[in-house]
Amino acid sequence: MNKKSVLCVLLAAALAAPPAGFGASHREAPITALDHKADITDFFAFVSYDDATKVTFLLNVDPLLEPGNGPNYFPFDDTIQYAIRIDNNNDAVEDVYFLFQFQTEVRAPNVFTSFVGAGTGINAPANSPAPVPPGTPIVPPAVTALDGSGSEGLNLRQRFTVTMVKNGVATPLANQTGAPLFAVPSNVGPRTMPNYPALAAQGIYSLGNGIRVFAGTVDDPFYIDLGAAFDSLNFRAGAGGGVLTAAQDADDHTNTAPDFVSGYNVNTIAIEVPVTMLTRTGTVVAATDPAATIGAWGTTARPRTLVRRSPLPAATSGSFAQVQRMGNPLINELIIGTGYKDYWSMTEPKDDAQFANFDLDPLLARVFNAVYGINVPTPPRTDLLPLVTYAPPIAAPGTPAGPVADLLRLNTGVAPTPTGSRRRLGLLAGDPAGFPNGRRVSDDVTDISARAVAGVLNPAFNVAPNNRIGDGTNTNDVPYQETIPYVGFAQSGRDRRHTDPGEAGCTMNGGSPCPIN
Amino acid sequence: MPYQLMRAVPYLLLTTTLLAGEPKTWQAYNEQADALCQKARHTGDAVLYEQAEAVLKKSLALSAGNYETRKLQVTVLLGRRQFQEALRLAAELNKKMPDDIAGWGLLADANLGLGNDAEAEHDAQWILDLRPGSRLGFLKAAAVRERFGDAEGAIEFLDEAVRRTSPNDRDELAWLEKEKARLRKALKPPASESRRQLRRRLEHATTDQRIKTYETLLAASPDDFELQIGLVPAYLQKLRETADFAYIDRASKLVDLILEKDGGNFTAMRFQNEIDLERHDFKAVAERAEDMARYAPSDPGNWGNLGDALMELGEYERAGKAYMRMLALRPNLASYNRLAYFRFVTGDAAQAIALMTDAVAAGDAVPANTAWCAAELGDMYFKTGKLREAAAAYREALRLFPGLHRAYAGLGRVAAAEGQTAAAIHDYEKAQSTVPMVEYAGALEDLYRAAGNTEKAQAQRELIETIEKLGQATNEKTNRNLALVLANHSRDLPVALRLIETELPIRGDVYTWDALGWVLFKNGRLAEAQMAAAKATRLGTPEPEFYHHAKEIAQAIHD
Repeated sequence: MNKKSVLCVLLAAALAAPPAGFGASHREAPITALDHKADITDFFAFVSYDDATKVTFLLNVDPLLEPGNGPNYFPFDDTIQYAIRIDNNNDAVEDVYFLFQFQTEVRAPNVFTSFVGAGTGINAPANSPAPVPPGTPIVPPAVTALDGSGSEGLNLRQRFTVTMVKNGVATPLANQTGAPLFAVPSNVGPRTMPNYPALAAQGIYSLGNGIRVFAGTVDDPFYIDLGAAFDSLNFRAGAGGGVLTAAQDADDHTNTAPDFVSGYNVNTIAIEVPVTMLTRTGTVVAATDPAATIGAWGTTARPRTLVRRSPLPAATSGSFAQVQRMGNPLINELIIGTGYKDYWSMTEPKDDAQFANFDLDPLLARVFNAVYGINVPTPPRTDLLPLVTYAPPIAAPGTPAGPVADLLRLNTGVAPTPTGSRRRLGLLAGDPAGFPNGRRVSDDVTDISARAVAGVLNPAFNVAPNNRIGDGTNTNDVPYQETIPYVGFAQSGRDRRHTDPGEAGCTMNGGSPCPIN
Repeated sequence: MPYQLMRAVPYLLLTTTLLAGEPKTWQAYNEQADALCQKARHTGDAVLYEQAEAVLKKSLALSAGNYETRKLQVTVLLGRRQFQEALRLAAELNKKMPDDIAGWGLLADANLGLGNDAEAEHDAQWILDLRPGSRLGFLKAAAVRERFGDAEGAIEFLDEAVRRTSPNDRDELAWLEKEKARLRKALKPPASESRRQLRRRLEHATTDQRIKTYETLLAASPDDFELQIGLVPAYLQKLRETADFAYIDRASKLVDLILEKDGGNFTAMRFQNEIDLERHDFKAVAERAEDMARYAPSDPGNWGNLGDALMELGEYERAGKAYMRMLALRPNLASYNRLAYFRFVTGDAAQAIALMTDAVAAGDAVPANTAWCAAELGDMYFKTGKLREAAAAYREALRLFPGLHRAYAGLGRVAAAEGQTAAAIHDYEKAQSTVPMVEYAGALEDLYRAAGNTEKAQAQRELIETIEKLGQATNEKTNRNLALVLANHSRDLPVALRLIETELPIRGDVYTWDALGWVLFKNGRLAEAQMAAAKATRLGTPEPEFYHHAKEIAQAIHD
């Protein structure tokens, strides 16, 4: 029996879990398989590329949205409380957090689809049957605005509110213009939304005090050969069977395996916040200052059914049950055992010590050791502590470690890496502004996480093949942006394309066919 | 054979047949055990749990330590009411698989069985959070709601469980309907015309008339919940009027009956608190009432009970808050008089008197209760040196409820303070003839001696000794009043010490500290006496005896 088939047998036993994203969080716990609206797919936090005094957070939810999936497309869930939480004093408890809630309005209840429009509008023709006289507007004009003229075709539209809570004080953040905040709808297609980028850009709002926000459907920035990953790590031979060549590894712009997330959208909430509102000092501090590193995570929560009746009505009782949380892009998927995933999702980072035995002796490392024969560090895996505590190389020396907690830790004093120098492998490739120092949309967290589990954070194990493990997807199918919301705008429902095995598209902007085997 | 078991037999026979004819797998054994447990639950036949246990042993022999099998073991333990062991095993399984809502369900059942209601609520909440809208979550939450006295809310959740039960599962549906019917009975039933007439008739009846009427009707309908609920407060009122503890036992038996059928009945739990207050189980009342307040924060009576228990435990700040909640919810005699007592104990005599005056002015439908407050007012006046006002209050009490023993005793105290020994003896004798409290015997012994009547003084002393012996014979552990009387007369001091020292774990109030200090002093333990006296006087309670005792102790230490 060859290594690959041994791998299949072993992993059939070890990974007997519902399908999960390898490296991100696409349906990683049973509860999110049942509640996809509350499923956090990715959480990002990084110093803004265009302003080093600000941090951008992205909370992506509702995975693998098929762009053409009308007529209702992908509204946010009105009953979910979405939140981005930040710890700035190393105790894994939020000191500042932002709450987002959505409210759906149906503007034309008799219309059968959420979005419709064409050109300057289409009226009833001369042969229009009674009782509708010719000339009556039938199809509204193409959608070119989120509100007012040009928005008539937005039958289903969502507003949202943003509330900042700091030191227990809740402050609603309003649009500086006074207008409501609208969520950007999915990209239906070129007839209904002829200039989608211009439409989507209208969804970037300034809330005052330097805060900007965007919410809506966007291109899913994540990339992975998902099918291969969950065929018990049956990676393509063209991608080295899971171990990339030096040349493949060095090329951040070429895919040697199909990106299964290509052509899909996701819902995102993006918020850009001045560093001064996030650090405990209230100032921008140098990277060498212990106060520079913050810990962040995203949560989704639903109103809870209470065991005992509350005297208050459910809507105002304020009681929410957390459905999911996400800090780092790998913990629940690769580390937490089945049987604990939902429980983990519903607990808080400050209580993560109860899962330490998972964090410090990940089963996946033993799988790599068994299958590839590679050497992995002996548990307890203290080399993984920088992912779950405040420690160098992310936090400055002398920073209190805090409790073991799954937070995405970001050193706000590290300047963003300019576009030409950014590396997909982040810190592992010497790019100081990349994962695990925060997480940017372009960071290849699949390869980074797998290599971290294989032990590369320990110099003695930063050798081949440990430091070449990869799935063969090194880049997204859609270019990212250099400002908020940083991800590509939503893919067209009419014209989207998924890159499948054997199809062209294994490099950006078309190219050689992706391997099947 | 009961109908339900008849329906079960085909299924049980089928699984048994399958097992007899085929290789036995642990899954098959588990299915059989599960069927047996289900039937046991539906029919109440505990023997089926024994059979299930035997089947599970076979399952474990084939698959040792199997998680699913061990869950069924917990089910059997719960069926046999071995809750402690069930909790231990359920906790172990929950740690292995915290995502398994069935595991949380077993935990909830074990905790309910052990009376760990808060923990059971926590477990049920986890089920509802992990799987919102799940049948199991609604079932367990219904059980918790019932425990907290919310029968209506429990029915609401059982209806949700019914909606999520397959129409083919007739046994389960039947069981759910039976549970709902049981809960509906516990809800206050719509009063029939005769019950309304009965209540109206008894509105102005004496306590004795109420007791006689309810007892007669209950004899004919012993399970009538409304009659039981009517009789319990009548017994408690009689106890207040006569200090005859036999009425506590009668009330307690009735409450036990109600709680046996319906463990979460809120009214019965309220009565249990009143009974436990009389029995001095203050800690139990404090815990129970605090829990009940979480569920029913608008029930003033419960806040009153909580405050009463906390006052006895010496937790004055919390007691004050509880009383203020009670007053805010319902300003009446019951709440005014409690807050008055709190103010008095915490050193604000003026406020106390004002509030007790309000209590008397508010009045109560039962004259004895208004009289009681008038007597309390008299005591407050007396202790703050206002003898004329005290006497007027005591007379008002007697006008409202002739024969109120403590009002007579109050008048006796006033007369004694004014040097009118004969009048004092007369009043104390009237008090004693109604209720022979030990402190009345103590006062009379002193008064007779002062009047030169040694024979009668000796008779009172013998009465005190009889009370002491009766206490020993009934294994009485604490008696603060007797301890004080013995200490006042410097007699049987070791007995006095034993009677007051054992009071401390039950109570922590300033009166107990004062009594302890005085008894310790009389037993020659001066340093400890001084510490106790300091605790007694720390709030500035306007009790002259506290300061008299403290002064005597300090003088002795100085000497």
